[in-house]
Amino acid sequence: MALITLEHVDLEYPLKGPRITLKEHIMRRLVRRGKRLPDRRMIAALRDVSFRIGEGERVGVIGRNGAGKSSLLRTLGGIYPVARGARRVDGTINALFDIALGFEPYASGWQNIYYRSYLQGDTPSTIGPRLKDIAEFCELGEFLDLPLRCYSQGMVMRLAFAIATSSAPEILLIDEVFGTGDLAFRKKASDRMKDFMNRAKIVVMVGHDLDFLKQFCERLLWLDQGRLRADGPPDDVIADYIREVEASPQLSTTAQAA
Amino acid sequence: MEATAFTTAYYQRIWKLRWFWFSLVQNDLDLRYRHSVLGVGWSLLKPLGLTIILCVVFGRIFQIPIAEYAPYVLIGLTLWHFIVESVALGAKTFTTGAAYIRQQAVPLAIFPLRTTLGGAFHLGVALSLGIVVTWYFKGFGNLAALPAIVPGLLVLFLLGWSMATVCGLMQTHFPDTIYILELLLQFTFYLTPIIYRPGELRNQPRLSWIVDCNPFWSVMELIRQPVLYGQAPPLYNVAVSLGFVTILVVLALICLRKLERTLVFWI
Repeated sequence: MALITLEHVDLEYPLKGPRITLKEHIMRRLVRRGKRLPDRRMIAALRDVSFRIGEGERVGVIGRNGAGKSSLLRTLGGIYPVARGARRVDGTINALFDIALGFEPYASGWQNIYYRSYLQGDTPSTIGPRLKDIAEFCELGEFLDLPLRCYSQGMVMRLAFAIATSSAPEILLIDEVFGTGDLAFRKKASDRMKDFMNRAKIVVMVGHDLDFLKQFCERLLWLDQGRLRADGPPDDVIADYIREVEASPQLSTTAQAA
Repeated sequence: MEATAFTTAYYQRIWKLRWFWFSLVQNDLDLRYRHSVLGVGWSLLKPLGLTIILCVVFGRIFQIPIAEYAPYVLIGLTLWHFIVESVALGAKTFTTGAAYIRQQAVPLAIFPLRTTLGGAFHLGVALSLGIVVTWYFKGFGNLAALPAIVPGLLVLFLLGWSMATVCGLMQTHFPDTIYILELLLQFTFYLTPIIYRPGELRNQPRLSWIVDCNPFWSVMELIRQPVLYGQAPPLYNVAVSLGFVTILVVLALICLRKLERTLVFWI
């Protein structure tokens, strides 16, 4: 049974800024021995988030930029550790966070397919059909023999998309909707995406395309400043969301742009 | 129950992902040797060239016959090169692997493993050359003792992995780590009998502790003694090496356990 539960989850980041150097760190230790260094500033990305997603659910996550949507997905994926609370995920996960992430620029397309497949748990004996599927879908042909740094951005996208959607995970985490290549490919990609999403037992998807989310998901989570503002049927949540965004005039323009 | 560096589940996951990190090592080696006509040969030119220069200059100064000095220097430089590489490439190991770390939860130990395995391959090639050179100058007297280098190499590998892990983790938190380490490595190079022999410092009773207390010297002796003199390494060196490596490995595992989960925020 695929299952996701979060119970009162807090997520915190250390503040990224100019970092303290090792030299400074050692000097401070020596000069002010005994005194503790002030704690690093932390930013709360998620606060007290709880929900449960059962098998068969298609869940969308909406919210303004910086509301914690991507952080939520990465927490579900086990990449970000929770500061407090409990995360439980049963089932194999495939995550499409940043589609072009994790390529070796000097290795060929083929080699990169191998690395990514191995990373997702393939072995030389299981990889065969997958190689064929990826090569067929991305239509890169002989380009696959070239190192990735020779690819155009669109080509990298195609390859990444083909690889990411070639496995059959139980839980699928998707960040944003991808702009993948030229028009012909985009149609093909969106068909494959739908098929891919239909095969997964649980889909959690972050997006700004409210129409798409309404069509695809039967449940929406609305995140606001790291807190779960609403959790329910898409029509209700979207109505509330739009009402709120329109009520704050300085933000309505950004929301429309998104 | 979360898999930390002190649980078996952690090592099972590393094993499960073996095809992944192993193919990355292959890729690293490919890149390293590809862009040159000589391939692997090119990378051997550096220690060989250095050895020749050192033989011409220092061999004269120290008045050591070339047949004695050349294999000694070549093997010393080869072993030292592995240590330098473990630190220098190790410091970058998590930044190089950042894309994977941000994409999927993987045991972090595989990244220093990747860099150290690459270095170890190179060490294997260079050391073979060193052994051949030793045969050329000193004959095959060391054949019976050669198997004794296997545990020595294992110790050296663990040393490389733990240094790569610790340096890599430090680098993610303190961006100037690599410069400080490079400085320290340079100091250590001159403090370790590599281009001079321990005997030359031993003649100065006040300086002999520099050699005896240097754990890198002890580790190097694990391999130099069998190869160069056809004898098992002295017990003192074995004890110091094992102690040193154990401390470093434990340190690396503790650092991993402490920082594994939050490292993704730092890269």
